[in-house]
Amino acid sequence: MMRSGTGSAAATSPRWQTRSVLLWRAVEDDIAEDDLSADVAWEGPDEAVIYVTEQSSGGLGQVEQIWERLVQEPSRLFEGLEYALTQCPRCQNTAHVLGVVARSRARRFARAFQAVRRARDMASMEASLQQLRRALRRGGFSADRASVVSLLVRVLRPGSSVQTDTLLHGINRMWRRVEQVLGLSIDLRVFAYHCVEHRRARRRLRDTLSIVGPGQRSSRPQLYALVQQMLLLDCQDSCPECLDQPNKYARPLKPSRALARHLVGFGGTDLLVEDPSFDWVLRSGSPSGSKGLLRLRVTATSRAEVAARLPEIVAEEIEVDYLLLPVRLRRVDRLGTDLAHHAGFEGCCPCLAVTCGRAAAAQP
Amino acid sequence: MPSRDLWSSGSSAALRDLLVASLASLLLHPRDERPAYFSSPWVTDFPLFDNEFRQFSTLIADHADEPRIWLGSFLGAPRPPSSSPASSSYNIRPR
Repeated sequence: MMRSGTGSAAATSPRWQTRSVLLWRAVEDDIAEDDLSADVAWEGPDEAVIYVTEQSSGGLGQVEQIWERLVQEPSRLFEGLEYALTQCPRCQNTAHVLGVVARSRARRFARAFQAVRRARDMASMEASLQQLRRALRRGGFSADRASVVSLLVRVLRPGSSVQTDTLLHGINRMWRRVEQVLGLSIDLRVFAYHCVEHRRARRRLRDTLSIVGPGQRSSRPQLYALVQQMLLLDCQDSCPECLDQPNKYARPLKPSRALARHLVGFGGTDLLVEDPSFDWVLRSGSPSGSKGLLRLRVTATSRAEVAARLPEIVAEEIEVDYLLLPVRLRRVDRLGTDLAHHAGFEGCCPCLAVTCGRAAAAQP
Repeated sequence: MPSRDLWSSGSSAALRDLLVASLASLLLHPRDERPAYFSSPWVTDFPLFDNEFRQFSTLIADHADEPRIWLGSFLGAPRPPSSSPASSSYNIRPR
């Protein structure tokens, strides 16, 4: 239920706080972030009301605007929910930067990085940025302004070099690996402290910095600050860039993406297509039990086959109960340096998601 | 060649969805150089991909941040490169 009003009720549990934020993010369209808030109020043990509140008075018709949009495209709400539960700008940015750094020794990127670092005037800087954008596009990375700025700030800043690229790559890789081994997340400051206190890590840090600034010995506080700058945050449960957006009526609870995803339960079926001869079209034709969603994860070797056969499934209509429903392509995503392609069926009929990339790298 | 008949008005979502899926499959293919033919008495530049939730940002990286990707942008879009064997990859996703 969606009601509009000038008041707001408090969310009473972390999971509902998460859902209210999700719903708000899903329904927003051309309306600014600060114009709306979403809250959940319990009206019974199993009944809750979601309040979408216009923040500014005067009856601007924002709630009506949202409602009309949802009536026109009912699937939009669920797609928005899924997007909010699977995407985080911080994660995308971190994956982008680390993905590019991982390939920084490739000739194309090495030249672009060198050109940016050697640029000394506006003209050469502009030319080097164009070269960097070209390299990013050809390498399959995003080359929009945000992506380029992230690289300039994080990787290509003054004083950086091939050695600092290697250090950034290695230190972030080590951070994730240790987290994986321990099975829990490690705070950035804790890991920075660990790197500085660990003898081998400290020696490696000092060796790298001695190349950058010969004859100078870095102190531990300097190393600590440097490591913190090099570690790139991802999003464990939620962050201020995605779901962690409290409002004054809600208790200060941190939303959990995984918990919300579990509760919302998007369902669907996952298919891994590693073998080009695998008949995924045949499998996708049996929608029962898939809750209208089928995700295909496709390795690089079978990507061409899947792309070639995609029009077949798009051209057919799938029989669901007494209806014939069409297939709809829903998403195409990239996982790090790999591609993830999602396709879907309209309405409540079966959906299809196609993921391209190496199977080992395309973990959900 | 697979085919499908649509009986609807021009603003039908089904028609756009069919176009989206068909044309996106061209971009998905790593090396397919087959042309796409449009036969219509009147063609305009219309919003082809609904990219509000960055659904198709990967396919058309130059217009990744735009909420709608137009037919003209699709026609000028370079093909996304296939995954190359990088030395290492990061797949950082929200958990």
